Amino acid sequence: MKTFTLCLSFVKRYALSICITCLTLASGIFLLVAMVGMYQFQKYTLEVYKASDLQDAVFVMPSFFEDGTELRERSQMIQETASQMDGVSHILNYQSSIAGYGDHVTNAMYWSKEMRDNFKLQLVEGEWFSEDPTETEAVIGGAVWDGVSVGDTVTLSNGVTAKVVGIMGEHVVYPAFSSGTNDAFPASKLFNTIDTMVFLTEETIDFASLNIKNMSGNKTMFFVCFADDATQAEKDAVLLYLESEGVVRTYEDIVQDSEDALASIVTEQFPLPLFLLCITTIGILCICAVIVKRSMPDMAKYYLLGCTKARYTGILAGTMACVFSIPALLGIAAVVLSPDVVHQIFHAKYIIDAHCVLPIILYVCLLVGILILMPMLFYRKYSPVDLYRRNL
Amino acid sequence: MLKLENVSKIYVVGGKPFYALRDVSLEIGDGEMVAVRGRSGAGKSTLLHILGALDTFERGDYWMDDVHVNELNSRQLAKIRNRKIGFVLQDFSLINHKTALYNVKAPMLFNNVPYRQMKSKAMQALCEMHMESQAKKDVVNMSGGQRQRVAIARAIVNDTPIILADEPTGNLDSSTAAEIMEIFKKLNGEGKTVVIVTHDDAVASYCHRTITISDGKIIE
Ligand SMILES: Nc1ncnc2c1ncn2[C@@H]1O[C@H](COP(=O)(O)OP(=O)(O)OP(=O)(O)O)[C@@H](O)[C@H]1O
Ligand SMILES: [Mg+2]
Repeated sequence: MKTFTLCLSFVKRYALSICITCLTLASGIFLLVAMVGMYQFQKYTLEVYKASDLQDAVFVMPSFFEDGTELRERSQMIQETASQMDGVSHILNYQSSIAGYGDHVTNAMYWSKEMRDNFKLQLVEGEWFSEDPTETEAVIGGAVWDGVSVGDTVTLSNGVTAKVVGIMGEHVVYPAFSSGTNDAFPASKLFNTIDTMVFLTEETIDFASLNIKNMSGNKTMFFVCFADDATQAEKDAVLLYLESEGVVRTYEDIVQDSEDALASIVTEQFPLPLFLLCITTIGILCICAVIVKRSMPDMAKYYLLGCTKARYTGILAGTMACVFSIPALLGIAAVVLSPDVVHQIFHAKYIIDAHCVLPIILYVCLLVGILILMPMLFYRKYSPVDLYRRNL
Repeated sequence: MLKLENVSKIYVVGGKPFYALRDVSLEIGDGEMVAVRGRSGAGKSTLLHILGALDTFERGDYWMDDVHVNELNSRQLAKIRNRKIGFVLQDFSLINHKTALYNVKAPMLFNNVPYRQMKSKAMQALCEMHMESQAKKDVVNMSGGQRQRVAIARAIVNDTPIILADEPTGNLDSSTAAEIMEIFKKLNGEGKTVVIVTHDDAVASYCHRTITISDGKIIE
């Protein structure tokens, strides 16, 4: 409590400027972490997309026509027509449902062989499904599955029993085919993040005998995959038809859009938080220099009363380090601990991991280091008696 | 009892040694009230700083009661300053942007007086100096006499046996100076050892004994 009184005495006079810098520091760091997270998501999804076997596939988003047909039905029709055209090998789509696992709820995706062959998600353990599964296989992701390892058998509440063949890393990123706009369609829009997921081999599951409720999935958007031996003329005919029905993005389009999106994060999003942090860093250093300088005469006075120079310097350094590291850590914690809020603010998906937090932690450490060194260097030259005499 | 034996304080000025104090030996008994006099630059403040364990010295020995002050490290010296000595200095050496109450509480930040008792002890010390009504006032807004009373309240709050004062009346008019000296006299009457550096004959006349220094040496 006494030390706290002393700490307070250092910063009280500068409360307003400290509050303002703390606020900009916290928001700068919050923005930066969130934006690095978005960048990482963009980059990660592009990697997954490139690693998948989708070079010879186009993504289709049927347009909404006001002719009374529901979009889903229309999409179904387009998929049927397209699948029968020459040069088309298959259509990629999936269905999913919510399923219980123990006390938890997870998302179950039922993937056809084609989906499994075309999409290759990143695993940390095990393998991405066998070529021709004889029993239901599962790839799991998320904390719900803690304790389950490759080779285990899991049973879901809907009756599906599956053998775990692979485990996803800390990011459960899955192709959702979800949102799309007409102008740009980076890979990040194909994918989504979720807390927990299990991917299952569709053909081994006897849907008729199981009690799978609320089956959903993406029924409107889909990939059309060309056959290996499709001629350019056949492909052009398919594209012409698909373009008449909606928006079509090729592999090259999506890669290009993703790279544009990455570049735009770097050139348009990063500058604001970086600018904020630069200004704030300068502000913090100035404020601390003023505090250190103006506290110098007081050191002689506290020395008189029974405080050592080392203790005074230490308390001052500690105070400044705490005052500015706490908002910085809060800024990081806000992004890490409240993903929903961040999602609400930025309307974007993001991946936060050690990679994006580490440089910022390093920045905070550096800042704290400077703040601690500052009074030590300032005060090194002067003995309290010198200071006392100088003030006379 | 404070005892200096052949103490020298040497500064190096332009590569040459400069003796601010030269072979000073002196003894101040418990309960004494001593004036230290001398011309400007004679070394009075230097002597007081050494007596107060504020400053180090290059040669000689300093004994405070049975403690050999030479051998103490900075933490132990800080403890001595806190527990044994109250300082009252010419420029008041108060923490300017703080209230009188904070200033008087400050010495207790560095000892084991419980935090909750700090305020009441400080108020008590301010009362003794008739400054209780000014407790919440920032010391910058106070008159010289008021500040000196706050400084004395701070010097007595830890109930230290020794009070060291460096020209405590230097910035005060003669009637305020007389009031302050009465306070020192009263404190001495309560058994405290008081050492006062001064230029002023009137101040010296309150003391039992006068030590005069010239060019770093005690001449009487
Ligand atoms: N850091 C220092 N470096 C060099 N010389 C110093 C230093 N500090 C003090 N001195 C010298 O030591 C001598 C004694 O100084 P001191 O402050 O003790 O004098 P004083 O008797 O208190 O004078 P005054 O009455 O003016 O306060 C002076 O000549 C001063 O210039
Ligand atoms: Mg002096």
